[in-house]
Amino acid sequence: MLFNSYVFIAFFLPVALAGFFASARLGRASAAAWLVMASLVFYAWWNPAFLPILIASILINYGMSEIVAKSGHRPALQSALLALAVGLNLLALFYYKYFFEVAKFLTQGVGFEVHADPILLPLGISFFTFTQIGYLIDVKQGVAKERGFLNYVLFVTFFPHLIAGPILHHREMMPQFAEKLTYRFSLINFSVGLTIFVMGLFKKTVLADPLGGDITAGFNMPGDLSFFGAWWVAIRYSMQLYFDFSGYSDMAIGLACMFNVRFPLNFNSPFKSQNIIEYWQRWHMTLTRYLNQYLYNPMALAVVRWRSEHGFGTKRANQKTLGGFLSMTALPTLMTMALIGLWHGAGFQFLLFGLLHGVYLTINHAVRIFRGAAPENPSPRAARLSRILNIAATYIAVVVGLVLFRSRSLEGAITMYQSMLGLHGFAFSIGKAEIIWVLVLATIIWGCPNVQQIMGKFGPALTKVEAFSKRLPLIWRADASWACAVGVMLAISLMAMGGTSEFMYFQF
Amino acid sequence: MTEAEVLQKLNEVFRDLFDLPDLELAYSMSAEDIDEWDSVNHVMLVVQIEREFKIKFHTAEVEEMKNVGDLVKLVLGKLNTAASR
Repeated sequence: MLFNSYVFIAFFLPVALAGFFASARLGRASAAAWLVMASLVFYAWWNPAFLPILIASILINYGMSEIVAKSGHRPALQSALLALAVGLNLLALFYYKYFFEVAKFLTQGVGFEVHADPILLPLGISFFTFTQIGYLIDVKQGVAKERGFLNYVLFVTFFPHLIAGPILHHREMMPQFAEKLTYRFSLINFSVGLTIFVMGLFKKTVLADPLGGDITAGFNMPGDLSFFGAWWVAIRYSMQLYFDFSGYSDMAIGLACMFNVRFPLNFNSPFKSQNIIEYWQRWHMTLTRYLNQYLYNPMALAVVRWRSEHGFGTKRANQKTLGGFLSMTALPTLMTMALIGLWHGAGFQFLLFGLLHGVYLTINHAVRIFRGAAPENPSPRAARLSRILNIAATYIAVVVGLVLFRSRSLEGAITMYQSMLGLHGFAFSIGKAEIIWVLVLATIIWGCPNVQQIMGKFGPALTKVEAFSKRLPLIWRADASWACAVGVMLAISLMAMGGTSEFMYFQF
Repeated sequence: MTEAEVLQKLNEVFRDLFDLPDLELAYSMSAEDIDEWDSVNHVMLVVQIEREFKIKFHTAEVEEMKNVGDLVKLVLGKLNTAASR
């Protein structure tokens, strides 16, 4: 079921909420069970055939986690069991997500015949697989304290995050489901949650969706685009993806809030970043956090510990040597980013997308390490100018990367890049209305506070954000004028919803 | 070791690693307050702390160490379990 569908807004959500707080009177277990059932219905609505996959994944993972937890007295066995459990998860993910593409590549590219039929990707499999792998690892390391079955199932299935994140950590979720107050209806949490949900819905249906049409056409036939046409398509795609994912993330946070649950922030005005390191700290924040925790840190730790034990330096000075930089910074960064790329899908364009960002990040780190300190106390005007230039350069680097992300194939991406370099002419045919609309979107992206800043006082997410500006007091209050404004946004969003469209991150 | 001693020793590690001889570490500080404390340097910091205190962290703990207060608590906890063994 889509968040932006009539059946979800008019039927599912009210019933799920009312049932949750009503059954909470019978006890926490029944409320939790109700929410699990509702979440399974939400999931199965799409394609009931996927439901057994989700249930099997949860049961097997929970069973394995308990076995892993109880084998702590035999460390070697425990490690083997963990490896088996993680391996099973990755195998399932590989089968559903990559097997067909790999088989196609082997058959067509290498001439090694492998028979495979297209396999439907179970919704959200990358997300629920990742969450559960994290849980398994933490159980093995003894940091998962709360291990109740019902709370675990609720943590994995809770519908606001089930299909496209945020990627939750059990440590921040399971205690919330164990907390009594979560099960008591709160008018302020409901109002705050509903407001955030409506703002997200507005971003999705009014700001993101109408951009769609000729972006698809452009990426299907990138060779037909002129220099201006290609950049125009690429820029508008970046905005479409931005409002789509930002809208989705708002809606997820808003929905959780209605159930008195706080999610971590997933999206914090990433296009306002001044460099690529910052960009990844603000775009899909929970994926970055997850990969830092379970991929980058272990790799980097192994390298640094190895250097430390073998008499190589592990100080800042050693980072400035080529070997130190390559082994302690460049290698773990490139490997992590390559895997981020592949996480988004099978295909060389995704691998290259990850590697390109890996290169961006490596350059970014190299500049930080080798350049030394920035000049102190520049004039306010110089500081302002350099800030604007940094934001612009970061944004352009991101747009260039997104071409790989959106292209249907590597050839398509290369053709698109050729168009962006002007190899297919410089014809200019962009309508006035289109330009005005993009300028409106740009003003929202770069000139306005984000939803978290507007709602920040009520702490709707686990992550705090910096205040936008003291001069612009655009802060939500529970009063009539905000109610009217949100009501109007909801009405416009509902009318714009007509043909429901999927969220872009559903394909991952 | 007391909390204050742990903080004192951590302060030396931070000064040394980040090249900030005047740094005065406080419990309330976090990675956001020190420019040099990014994800790359964080890992070096972790290993340096392991060496200085002769302890070892779990990978899962590394992400929890991005503010000084938690860091002191974690190090103290490790030292105490090591001592009680």
